[in-house]
Amino acid sequence: MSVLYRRHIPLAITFICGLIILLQFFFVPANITEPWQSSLQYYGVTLTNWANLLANFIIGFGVVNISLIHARRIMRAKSWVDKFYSIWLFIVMAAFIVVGLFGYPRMWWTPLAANWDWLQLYVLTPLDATVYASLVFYMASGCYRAFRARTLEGAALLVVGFLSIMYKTPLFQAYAPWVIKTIDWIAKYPAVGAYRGIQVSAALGAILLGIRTLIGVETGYLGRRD
Amino acid sequence: MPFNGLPLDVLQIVAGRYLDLVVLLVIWVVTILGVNMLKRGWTPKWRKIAGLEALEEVVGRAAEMGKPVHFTPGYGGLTGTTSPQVVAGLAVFAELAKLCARYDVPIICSVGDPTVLGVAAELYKQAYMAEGKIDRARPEEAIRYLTGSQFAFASAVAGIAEREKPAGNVMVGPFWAESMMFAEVFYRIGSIQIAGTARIYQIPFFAIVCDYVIIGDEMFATGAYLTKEPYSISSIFVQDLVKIFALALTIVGLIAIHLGSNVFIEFLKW
Repeated sequence: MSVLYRRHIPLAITFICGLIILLQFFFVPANITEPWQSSLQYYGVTLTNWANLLANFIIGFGVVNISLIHARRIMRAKSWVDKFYSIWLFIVMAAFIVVGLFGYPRMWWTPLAANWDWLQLYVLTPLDATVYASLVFYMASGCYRAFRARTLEGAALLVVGFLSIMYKTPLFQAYAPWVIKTIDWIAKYPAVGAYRGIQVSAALGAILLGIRTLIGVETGYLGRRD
Repeated sequence: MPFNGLPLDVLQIVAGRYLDLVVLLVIWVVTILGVNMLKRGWTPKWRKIAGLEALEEVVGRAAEMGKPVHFTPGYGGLTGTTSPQVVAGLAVFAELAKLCARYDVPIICSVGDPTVLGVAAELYKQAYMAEGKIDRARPEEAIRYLTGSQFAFASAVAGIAEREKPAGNVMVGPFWAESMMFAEVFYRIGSIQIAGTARIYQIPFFAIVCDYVIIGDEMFATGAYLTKEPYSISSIFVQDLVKIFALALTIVGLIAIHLGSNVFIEFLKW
């Protein structure tokens, strides 16, 4: 019973659902003409909606997990400094939940109505932008280490990297137009060739992973690898 | 189109998807044939994937240093177009958790999508159970949902790196702009790093900073590579066969176009 419940039934569900979505992709055109196409479309769309609903419902588990971790951290912390960020997380989480539930879309309590947008615009967006902007420093330190001519490949990377940076400067655009042509050529041919090679092989890998999943060989998504 | 009007039209396949269906069916059939050959005792030669071979090195280093190992499949989920990469990442996590359980090394799994949370927790428990140490499993501490927001997730992972200073960091899954941030932060604290993604714009970042990189299709072979089941080995073999076929098609197409023929382009649109 356990094997049936934990392995065979989930694998059968995966196979049937995967097959319906595949059939929908290959046999249902944009302009439906046959009743069987309409039925296939209905089942495909219903399954997709179920997946989206389940994914959103699971956010609740995420909230429980994050709450447990930080509650435990608050209880175990020896100083207020250690507790501070966990307490702050609960305060912000409560603020967002209250404003999200009661403030928008102007359902229950209108004084809170504009606050969701305010939180998004003046709290989340600047924070995101700040962290994103800090990326440039990480890139600079990464490039500093990468652009070292220790090997032939490293030297090639150094030259191309230097030219790519110089490509954007007015000095080189005015006095060394050959740099522009060289970088354009590198970006258009060798770089695109390498990217496409990776893209094609990655796409084939994804197809094989899909087939393994459909036939029940890849079981990692079930939470076990037996 | 020269490929329209073939007897296959009776099947009412959506226009432009004939070739996709044929390729899918051919791959499927060849995979099954490969399995049958493997069952008869044939074993293909395969190259080693350095990034996956190094998992033991990561855990060994952490055991010697008395520090945890960090893993993240990124903030992609089990629904959507990046889900195959997340599944591949979870296959690596299953193996990593098993090694950590074997050598009593704490593991931290940072999750950015709640759909991954339950699966990762279950894989973690299964790993400890397989090693006979279920009493030492602490999924509520090891598996951490951080947030679904990209840069908040990046900040949270960076915070874990700075506070807990893991000896090793393994990142396998879909990554976006946060990839460089993770790689640099863990480099700065001295972690040994294995990174893998199929997102081509992030591969150069990982290649620059990380010790081992799992590139493109290698990532989708991780589950098969680690489990070494006949079906899985067969699918890797088929993957390489199809890759060779795709390369041959590219060369044929190139020649055909240079000879002024559009047949190959029409064939791809079929």
